[in-house]
Amino acid sequence: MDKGGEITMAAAGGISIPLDAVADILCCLPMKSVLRFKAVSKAWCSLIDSSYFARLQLSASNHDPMLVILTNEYIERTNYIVVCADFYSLDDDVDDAAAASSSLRQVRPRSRPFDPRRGYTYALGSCCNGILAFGIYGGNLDFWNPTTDQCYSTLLASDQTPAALDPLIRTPSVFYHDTCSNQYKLVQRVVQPDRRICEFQSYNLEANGFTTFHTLPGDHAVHPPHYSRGTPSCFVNGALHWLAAVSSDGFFAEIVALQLETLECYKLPLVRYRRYRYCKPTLVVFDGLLCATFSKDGFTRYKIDAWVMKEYGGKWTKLFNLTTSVDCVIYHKYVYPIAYSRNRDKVLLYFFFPDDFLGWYHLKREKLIPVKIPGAPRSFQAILCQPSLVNYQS
Amino acid sequence: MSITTENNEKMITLMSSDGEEFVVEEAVAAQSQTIKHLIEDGCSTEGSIPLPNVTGRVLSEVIQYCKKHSSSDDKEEKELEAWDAEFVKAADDHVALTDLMMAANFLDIKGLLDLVAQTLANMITGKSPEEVRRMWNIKNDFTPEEAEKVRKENQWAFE
Repeated sequence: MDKGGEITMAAAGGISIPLDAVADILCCLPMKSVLRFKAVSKAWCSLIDSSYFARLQLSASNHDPMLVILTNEYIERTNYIVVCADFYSLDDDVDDAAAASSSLRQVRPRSRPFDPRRGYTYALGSCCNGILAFGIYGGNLDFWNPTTDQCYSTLLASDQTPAALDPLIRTPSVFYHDTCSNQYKLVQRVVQPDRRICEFQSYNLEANGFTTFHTLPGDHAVHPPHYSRGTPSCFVNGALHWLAAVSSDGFFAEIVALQLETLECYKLPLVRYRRYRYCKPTLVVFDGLLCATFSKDGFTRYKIDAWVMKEYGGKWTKLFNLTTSVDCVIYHKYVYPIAYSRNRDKVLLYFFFPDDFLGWYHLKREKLIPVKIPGAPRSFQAILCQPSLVNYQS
Repeated sequence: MSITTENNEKMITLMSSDGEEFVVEEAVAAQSQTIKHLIEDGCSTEGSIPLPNVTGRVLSEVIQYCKKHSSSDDKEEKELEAWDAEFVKAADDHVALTDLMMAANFLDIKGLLDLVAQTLANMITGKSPEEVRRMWNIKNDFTPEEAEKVRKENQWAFE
């Protein structure tokens, strides 16, 4: 696009504004205003649609994140429900309740990835540059931008299913932008059912499916955890991380990582306590750091300990200990934190299995407060997403 | 021409599009990357630096900003923020701000550009497309069908 000083239209005596100045102003606006101003003129519209502007806005990155909530159709075979919410407006400290509820928007269910006729849809990995990757059981891969509702859909070769959807494997995928090749990559770790080997496959446009680019001996691979449905991929520092069992009784003791560029495989220690012996840990990326959560249910109380690795490869620091007797969480075996509130005094926790549930945990008051999202389904995936105008194809 | 003051500061002269001359310290003017490069290329050795895209009125505002930002150090960040807020408030309306923004763009003064862009953004964030068109004399070149399509594709942004 021409970013030179094209004058949009000057009437006699008035003031006009060049398009590159418009781009600078639009970069300071919330996404909603930017999209509305596509209606100003054709020049504004094509500026906002351009990949030049999408990149400019991404590098400005001053947009508040949003939380995308998607029906987990695997359980709820109903119409797809997708709710997008400004993340910070979910905070109960927000004074303006009207503003909070107006920030929720239910995306049209006819959005491409969410056509119930197309089969079980599941988000693969986390959000990257504002784009989410979806696997669809019928064999499609969709790349969807929840901000613009733009979707790029591709049909996989007939024998292909993303591992996250395969009931025998179901390991999380990683969706990221490789800065070296300037390409989006979708990588999955596949543990073969006989557990002898662990394959790393990436989505390949030419092959129209996943091709294996690396293999590790099976001793690195944990048995596919039955709960992995809810765990997002753990991609940080350019490496994919997962938990490895080092003893036969299932005592998780270490993290295995594979650097996706150099294919270097290495181990990181996991928090090690006797009392965590029979806990179910979850490993996620929280606030850009590795975060391990241990849940333990007692007779009357339910405990969650969360730790973060502040310096990569360094020591673990406790994020919080949560002890609660709240009925609604007693049966929730697995949990992980999604993000801090704006002033970082709370953490939004996502509880999953058997039901899905969100709650703010007040770090100082040590209190858990459930978050009600109107229109949210019973079983859902909750993904933090950076709003962007990036289009997968460009 | 280079004049030296009693504090041994090197002075340079800037000339606006309407022929107004401003004598400023080199350190102040060099906040503009454009002027800095002109000085480095030796354009200031004889006569003044002509700035054909900036009027005297706007240039005096720009110099005011540069003076403030070259004399303050990081410790006074809060005070500087308050000063910035007053500064853009004094610019009054979107016409003056647009002029200022174009000058900041031409002179390549990042801090000023960001400040004015944010101020204009705050001004238009809640406005309708029609109101924005009126601000900058932009012609609506959509056909009714095209306008409806844009609106439909971005429904939530119009609610």
